[in-house]
Amino acid sequence: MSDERTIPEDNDDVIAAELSLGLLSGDALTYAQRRVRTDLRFASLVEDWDMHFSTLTETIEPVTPPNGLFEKITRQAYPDSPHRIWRWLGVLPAFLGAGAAALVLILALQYGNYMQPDTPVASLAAEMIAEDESIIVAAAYVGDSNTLFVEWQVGERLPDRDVELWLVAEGEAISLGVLSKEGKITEFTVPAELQNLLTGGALAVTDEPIGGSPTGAATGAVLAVGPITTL
Amino acid sequence: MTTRQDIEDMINRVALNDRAAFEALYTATSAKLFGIILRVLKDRAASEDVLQDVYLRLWQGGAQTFATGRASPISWLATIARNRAIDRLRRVKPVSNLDGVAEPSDPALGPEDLAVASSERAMIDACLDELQPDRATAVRGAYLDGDTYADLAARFDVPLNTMRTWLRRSLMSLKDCLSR
Repeated sequence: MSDERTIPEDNDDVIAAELSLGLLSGDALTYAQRRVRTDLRFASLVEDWDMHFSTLTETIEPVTPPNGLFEKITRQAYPDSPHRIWRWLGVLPAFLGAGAAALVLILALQYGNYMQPDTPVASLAAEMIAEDESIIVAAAYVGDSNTLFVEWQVGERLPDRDVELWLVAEGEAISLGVLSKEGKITEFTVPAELQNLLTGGALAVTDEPIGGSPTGAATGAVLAVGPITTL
Repeated sequence: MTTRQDIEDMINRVALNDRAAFEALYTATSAKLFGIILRVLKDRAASEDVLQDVYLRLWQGGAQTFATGRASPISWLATIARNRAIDRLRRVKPVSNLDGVAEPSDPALGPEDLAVASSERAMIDACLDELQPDRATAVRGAYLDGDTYADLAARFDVPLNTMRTWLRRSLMSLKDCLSR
């Protein structure tokens, strides 16, 4: 189709289309974005274009996102998720990295009143991650009470199997017990003779029959492993 | 089978912070949105980031901006996913790199492949077909590859202003066609 018309610079239909396609930059972009917020008629032109152009996505094949992504989203979306305990224990920033500092700040402001002076402070932490990231298990150790908090964060639990936690130190794997199926966090009391082995060791979870390994050594697949780090 | 009405209901319930609806919406729509984001970014890790961001924003107030009855809920979600992906693309790609080597546009998106077209898609495709082929390609490239005027000028090897004049005329023709 031959079309030699000159389109006036102030043609709203065209500006709306340019904005919808993302062609604008600089002052023109700033101006168009401001008009969307202040001019309902212009905003509805942009919306019309959005709807027309969005049909270009209809032929794109769906791709299933990786397992666990929704859990990652809800961990950020739901402020009362079990994740909060990690903040209490002072290990959340270590798990989430510096990029999540803003989130931690928001949680602190929102839930600051929960911060009691006697809040336990974790001295060691580990994050066990499967190679394909389909399973993530977080752990934090509070030395004052010899308590190890372990949270099954991401991944499916099999109904007819248990997950067993192991301390890997000095070339040996020592069972610490079976993860609870009720609730996401299990508390383990670490026997006195094992406490010194935590530093420099690693934690691992394996797939085991109900009740844990019958032999005292891991019998099933290693689901996830992570080194224990000092906080 | 999830219907358009189901998706609308889910979005409206997510606006009220209904967690079951949030999970249902994710289950029903995440694969489609992930496909769109991957198509734009062509990078899995970055696409996962953007997908997380899209749903997190929906939960944190975005769903409240959905106007029931005005837009198709899937088109609305697709637009958000595409726009967030383009934003991400712009952050890593220089905006007006005239020397950039343009990738060939994806042949899978050619109009001949759109066998079972919805009436809306049939409409925009028919209207794009009325444009000169390279201009239709330019419009698709802008939408799905995030090409700016400068990128398109480089790809088609014409001066920036020429590209702009071409495309503005094409958009006007498209508008005329869509309102027929």
